[in-house]
Amino acid sequence: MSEQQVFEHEVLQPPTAPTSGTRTYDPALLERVRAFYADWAACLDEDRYRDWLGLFHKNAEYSVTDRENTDTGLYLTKERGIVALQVRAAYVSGYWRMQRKPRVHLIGNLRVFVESDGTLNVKASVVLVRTGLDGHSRVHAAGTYDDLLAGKGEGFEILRHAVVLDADVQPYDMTDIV
Amino acid sequence: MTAQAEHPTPPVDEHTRTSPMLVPRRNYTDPGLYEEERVKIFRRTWQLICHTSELPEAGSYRTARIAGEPVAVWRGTDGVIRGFHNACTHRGVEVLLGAKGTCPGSVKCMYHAWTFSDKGDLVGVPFPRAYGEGLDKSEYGLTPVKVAEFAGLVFAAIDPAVENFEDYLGEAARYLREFMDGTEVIGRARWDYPGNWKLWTDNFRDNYHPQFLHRMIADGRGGMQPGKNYELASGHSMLTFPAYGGFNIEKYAAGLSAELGENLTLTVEDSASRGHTAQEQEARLAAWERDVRHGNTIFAVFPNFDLQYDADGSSIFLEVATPLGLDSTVVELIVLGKVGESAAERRRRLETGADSQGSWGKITADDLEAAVRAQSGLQGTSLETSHMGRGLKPGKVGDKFDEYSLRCFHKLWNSYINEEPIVLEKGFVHE
Repeated sequence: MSEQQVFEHEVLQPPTAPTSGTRTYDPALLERVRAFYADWAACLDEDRYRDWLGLFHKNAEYSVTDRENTDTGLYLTKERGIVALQVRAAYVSGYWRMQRKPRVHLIGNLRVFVESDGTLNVKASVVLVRTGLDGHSRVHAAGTYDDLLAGKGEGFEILRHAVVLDADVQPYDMTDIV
Repeated sequence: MTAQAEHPTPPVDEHTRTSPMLVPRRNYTDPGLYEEERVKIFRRTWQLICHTSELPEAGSYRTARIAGEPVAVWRGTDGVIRGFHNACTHRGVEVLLGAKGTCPGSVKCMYHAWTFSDKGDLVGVPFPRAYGEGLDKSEYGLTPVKVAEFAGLVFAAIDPAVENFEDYLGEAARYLREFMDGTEVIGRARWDYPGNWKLWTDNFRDNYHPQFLHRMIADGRGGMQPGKNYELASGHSMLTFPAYGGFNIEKYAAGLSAELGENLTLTVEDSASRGHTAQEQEARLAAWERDVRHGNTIFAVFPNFDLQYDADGSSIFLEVATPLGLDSTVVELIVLGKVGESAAERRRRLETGADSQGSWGKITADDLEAAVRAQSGLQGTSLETSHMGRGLKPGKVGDKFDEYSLRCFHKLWNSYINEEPIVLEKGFVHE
């Protein structure tokens, strides 16, 4: 008797790619990474998209997919380079025909791996809570980051920001940066 | 004066006489009508489930809901795709689990291990003697649903008396076959919205809104554009327009810059639209004027399915709007690629195929905002009807911004709801 091989989101492979780097527990480095993501979240939650763009390398990639499409390779969003990111930031800033809603990005469970070239592979969890037109705050998106950061001065800049969303049905207004 | 009297009197041409120009707003807000739709439309029409490439081997299956009922299409070890109500005939537990999977030959219900073959026959019941003579296994097979394979697509219908699928498509069959030729599915995504399902089907049959709702189009392509709006036989429709460039990248960049507060310098490659030389534009316009199938196309099949196709094949996708309730709809986006295309082309599709569509998309997010605002606005009693009267010349073809495509949908919708005989029209509007 054959058994079903079922593809549901809960049984898919973990969405983040394996890392070749070495896990670091350096408290000072980890604190700097946490501070970087706190700044990232503040930019997004406070509608400071020009500041947010300043966190990227000019050739950075930004991508969003969902668990289902970690198999297929289909992206919901893929932006290559700072111009494409500027366009996205302009849409979020008001080019879309929708009212912006209050939001909070919560980024945690950071794990940092030092790659052989000194860049940092950061794996993290993200939850986006948004307050809708009805006045209620709800979880709008949840997922994981698989990022690549390079040192820049005292801080970092993003070379790659790759998001995998947990949900396989997205809410109607999935226009926030995750 | 009644609310409707504020609208102009419809002309008495046969087409507009029989096609509703004024659509009652309660069609989107009345719970009783929604229940009627479930029974009279969704149980009685063909629903797209998947592409055959998504059932690649014996045992492959996909599940879906039609009119709220769980169904599955399942490829047997004989290669045949069959459809079933996805519920054990014992106690009703779903037997094929998840959105998709593989289960070759047979499936065993998780609850009491009743086992069904891939032909739907009940082939195993644990400890059957306790039933005495009272259980005839031949009466407890999975309940079939009708399945049609057409142009690589798999459709299912609950009503055993549903029309033959090609008759159901009528002249739309020819187009669907052409658009789907040589394609395969490269990914799916979906979103839901708090609005009636017809707000989505209205939207993809409407080409009047893009130049106003979507700022990318307003800035890049504002003004009157050439195009055609077709009523196809039996409630299907097609919008088509030439695939020429002419995108105003400077105006688009200026609009973006104003929102960002920073000057953006864009090239046509930075826009969602590929640029074309004047010569290319002339050639594309001429090609479209010779044959509208050389244009960009939005092709809709009654009641809730559409296919959108860029003339150069650079973007091909399907959408299915499935009602979850009166004011709750999920839209499935199925992105297609060309079989055998280069790795670079496939990568481009994977990176951009869902970029403009979806609740995250540069185009579709606007449509969803409008749908949600419409669902709210339609609750009001200031007017009883919505106006779909653009394009009044006799016949079934109008210009890009006309609404033949919308009226033919609502005309057939009325026929189903009123349980009038569904007359499937044959023959082509144009050659």
